[in-house]
Amino acid sequence: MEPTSAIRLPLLKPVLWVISVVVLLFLLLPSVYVIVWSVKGTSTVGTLGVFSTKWFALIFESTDWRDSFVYSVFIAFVSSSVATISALLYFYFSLLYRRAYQFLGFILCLGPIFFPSVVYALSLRVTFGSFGSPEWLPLIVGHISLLMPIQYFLIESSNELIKIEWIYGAATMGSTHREVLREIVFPLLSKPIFIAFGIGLLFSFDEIVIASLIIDSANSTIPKRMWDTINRQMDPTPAVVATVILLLSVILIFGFYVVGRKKRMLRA
Amino acid sequence: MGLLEIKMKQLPVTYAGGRRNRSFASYVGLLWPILILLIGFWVPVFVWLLKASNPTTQTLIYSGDAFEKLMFNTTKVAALTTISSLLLAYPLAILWWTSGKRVSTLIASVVFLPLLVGLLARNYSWIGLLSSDTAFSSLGLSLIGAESLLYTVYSVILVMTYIFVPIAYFILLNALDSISTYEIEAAQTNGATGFEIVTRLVLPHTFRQASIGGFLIFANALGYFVTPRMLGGGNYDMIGNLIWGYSNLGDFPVASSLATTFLLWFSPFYLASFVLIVRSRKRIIGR
Repeated sequence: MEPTSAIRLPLLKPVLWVISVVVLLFLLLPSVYVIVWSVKGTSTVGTLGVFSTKWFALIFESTDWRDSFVYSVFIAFVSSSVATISALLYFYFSLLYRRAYQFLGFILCLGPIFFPSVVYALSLRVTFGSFGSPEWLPLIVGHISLLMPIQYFLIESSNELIKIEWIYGAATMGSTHREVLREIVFPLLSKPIFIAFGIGLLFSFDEIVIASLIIDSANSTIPKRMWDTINRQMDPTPAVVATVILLLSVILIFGFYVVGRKKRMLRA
Repeated sequence: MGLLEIKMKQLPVTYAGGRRNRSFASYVGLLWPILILLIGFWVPVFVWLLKASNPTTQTLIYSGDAFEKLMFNTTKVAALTTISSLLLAYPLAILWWTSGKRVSTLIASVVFLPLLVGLLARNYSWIGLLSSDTAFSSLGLSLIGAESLLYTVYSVILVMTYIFVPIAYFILLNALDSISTYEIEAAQTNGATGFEIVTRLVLPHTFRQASIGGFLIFANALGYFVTPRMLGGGNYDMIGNLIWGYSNLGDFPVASSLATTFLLWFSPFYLASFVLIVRSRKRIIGR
């Protein structure tokens, strides 16, 4: 979605600017404070000391945090991959089978978006607990169910990139679903698909509601470990973890941006 | 030629690739997303509801003054959060919509950046901000006249608003995108002021999607427990905190009873939002 070219709103624009700057500062302030807290934090909450990297050293030396990172990446990768594939399949087939199939899928998609996540997490815990499943299974199932509708709406918002006539034309000339998906849908929607996958990865990596109700063992995700740490003591450890994740995310996004730009330039 | 083109466009578009697409793999692909949602979401919810409504598990439907007060507080916080999120997101979205590419990219990036920090870290950061002797905390104290802003209902609403503003913003962007620039130009040609354009064109055009966004935020805020637990510090509980608390203690029957009562209380709201969204389906998905 691209913004329209600048629209003139005489007299109102300065007011909008003032309010927006205040709101943007309000949104930005905690992220900046997290970074400051991670390098200047002390064991007393709200008190800043001198610059130090000792909390970073503690995190990097801890095998528990390292294991949690690996576990979180695994859960996020599996959940986001399955959810993206499912969302793409639903998008594709809802183009072909518009009425009952599209309507049924839409109604099923609304559940995870509207249903209180704490109650859903409880239902996962009770249902999967009754047949003694390992913790990772309800965790992945829960994440996929929450991610798929979000990813579907993200892909759907780019539906103007694809024309139904192209799919019908390819099918009429004998292409299979797999060929249409590989040759038409995926190349045209690759950007929204990757964005949906990335947002799914981020969402799953950060998910706490299901994780806090499902995970009992020592093998926990990063948010669950942060949650337990915050409930026990208030040192800068969670701020350090958040700063590291923020840095990693920025590096990844910047990396993808540079690679994409290079590809576009080569193509041009 | 022109007439022929019009007639060509009017031809019905049909799907004629059925024969080669009736393989087993095609049916698996077709049913896969539906099965994922059914098995992953709806089956666990129904199994849990069946277990919770089993007479031997002694599910209680809570009532009484204390419970009603809890539900009232939950509704109040969720409603205030929804209203303030939409109020803060509107100017931001309108500025994004009316600005050039550079400004709009900057706004979208600043709104998106906090999402990378993580939900818990953002909540935790607010504890640090509100407990320290910062200008922000002092301003808050002078506004409400309390000894400390932290662990009050104000801090819960403030931080929940902070969490939901990006969601409201992204929903409003989608709504604003549906307004044609021709309509704005027509209004400007007719001498409408900026304020008139916003109140008589932008707000009515975006009202439906803003209401859907409002319903979505309200629905999520009702069952929210992370911010009330961290910023409320146990002084200010919402229903989500109690459900989480009992589940954490391993008392699943009580947690299930609370969750069932919660769903019963808010079922008219959930049904109404469900119907509103299903009826607006074409506008949401664009076909």
